[in-house]
Amino acid sequence: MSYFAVDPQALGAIAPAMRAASLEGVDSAASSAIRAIAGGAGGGECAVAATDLAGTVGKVLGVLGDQLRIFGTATELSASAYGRVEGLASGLFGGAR
Amino acid sequence: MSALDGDPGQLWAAADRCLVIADECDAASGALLGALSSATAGWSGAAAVQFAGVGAAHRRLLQTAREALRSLAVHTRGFADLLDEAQRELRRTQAQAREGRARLRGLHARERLAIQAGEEDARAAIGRLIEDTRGTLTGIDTRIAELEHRMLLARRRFAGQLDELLPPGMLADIERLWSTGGLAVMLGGAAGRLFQASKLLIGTARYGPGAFGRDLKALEEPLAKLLRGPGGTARVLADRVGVARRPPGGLTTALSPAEGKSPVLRRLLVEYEAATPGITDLVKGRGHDGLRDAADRAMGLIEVGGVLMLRGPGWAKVAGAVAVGSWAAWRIGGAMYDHKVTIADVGRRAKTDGSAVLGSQAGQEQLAKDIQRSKPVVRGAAALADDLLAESLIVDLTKIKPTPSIPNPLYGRVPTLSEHTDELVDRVTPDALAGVFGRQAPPVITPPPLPEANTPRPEPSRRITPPIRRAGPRLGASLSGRDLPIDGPSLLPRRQDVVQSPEQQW
Repeated sequence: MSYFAVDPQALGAIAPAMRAASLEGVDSAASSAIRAIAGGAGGGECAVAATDLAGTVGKVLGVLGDQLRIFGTATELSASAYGRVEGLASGLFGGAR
Repeated sequence: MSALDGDPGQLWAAADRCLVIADECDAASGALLGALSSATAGWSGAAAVQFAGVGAAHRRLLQTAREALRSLAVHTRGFADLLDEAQRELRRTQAQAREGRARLRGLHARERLAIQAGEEDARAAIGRLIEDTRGTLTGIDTRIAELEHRMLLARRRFAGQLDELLPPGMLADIERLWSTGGLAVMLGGAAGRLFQASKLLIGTARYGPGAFGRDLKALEEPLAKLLRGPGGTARVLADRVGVARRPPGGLTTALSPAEGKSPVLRRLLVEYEAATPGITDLVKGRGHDGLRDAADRAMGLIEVGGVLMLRGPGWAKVAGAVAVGSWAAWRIGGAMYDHKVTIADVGRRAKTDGSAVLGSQAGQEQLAKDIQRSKPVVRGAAALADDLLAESLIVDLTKIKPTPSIPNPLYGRVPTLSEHTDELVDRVTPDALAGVFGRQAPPVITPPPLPEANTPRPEPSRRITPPIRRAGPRLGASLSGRDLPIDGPSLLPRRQDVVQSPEQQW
């Protein structure tokens, strides 16, 4: 029986999926697309609003991407820690819980 | 700048790019959903709940971003369509205006000719045409003004849509995940590590019953012997490379006044201290016989050689370290082999006693109390982990190594474990431990069965003497029908003489 309520290998196996959800480069692409909107709008308040939005969306997606990377890293770290302690505990207690 | 300025083609292309980026957010959300489903399928408990909650929050934000980008594409397309239509109409209207102005110029020329020729009727007809053309041009100007106004309104509406595209507070929601996102999973892991470390170390070592404690004590000396040689060498070598500054002991301490005056003497003494275990093994052996004794002495020689090689150039230092490491591994392995029975016994008892004690209410109460006492230690360890985590995470994410002279504001935003350890430790209660380890029911005390010889045997019912018989043999004898006179008065009532009360009848 597992000491934790999770199989460390299963938790480690989802790390690639977490990394795939990291929005790598999406923030700059979105920011660039919205700046193009500002350019295509021909100036005025639309261009100002689009430029502001480009900055905000870039920041939001950038921070969200960072969050997702942290989330993935934390999951990997936890899986690793679970795996190590699981091995240690299993060695000493032989699976008794 | 006119309200009709702009490039619809560029706007359409940008809208298409926004849709592609929205699809990427959608793909990330799908990947995250898959990861969450896989994890939660085989994971339960507090950490799993936190993990699922944080994952769902990430998905919600991803979906919000996706919807915002899709809405942006839709609004941009709508605005581009309007702009394109308005620009086409403007071009058509401007062409009509050009034609009208040219016609007006021609009519004015014909009007002048008619005046010079004195043709009043023709002049009047041309004058009416001029008025019509002027009216047409005025209508065109009005149409252009209307287009400008319509596009001005469209621009205002589009700007408002851009301003309201992202929900207010979305960035704050995401930034809040800095503290909850990583923290949730890490706390889950920390809780697990804390429980398991407590279970392994405190539970087995401190709460083991007497037999286990005795075994630990029995193992203490072999453990000390096991670690003394390699440990001492490591300490001295650490001092040699400047990691540790603890003064060496023994002969080095005795000669310490002279040591400060001569760096060469100090180096020799340090090397002597480091080589002493190897010299001891070489000269005295380890108390074994035969090949094992020869191997012990050979490994001692290798250790001495390794220490001496550490003073050489780079390759020699590596070879020396390998030699000293080999000797340490030989020592530890040999000691483990010599004490394998004791070690195996300790492991067996740790398994049995640790599980048994931690499954009892008294053991869980004691463990919870001691974990509460360890609060400052846990907090200190978490603070150390915070520093390491902040540095590694920020360097990993920003690829910028920390520079002491340039403060990095990100350090203040990394989740900190140390602020939450007290709360975490407070959650370690006997009941919580019972939930983790389970709690065995207290044993039901049943008295042991008495031996067969001492058990009082119940008298058979046929041996119970009726009270009336116990009155005496004479009375009993007189009650037997044999001794009674047939016609004499009887002491017992005759059946037909007994009058039953109503209750008795009932």
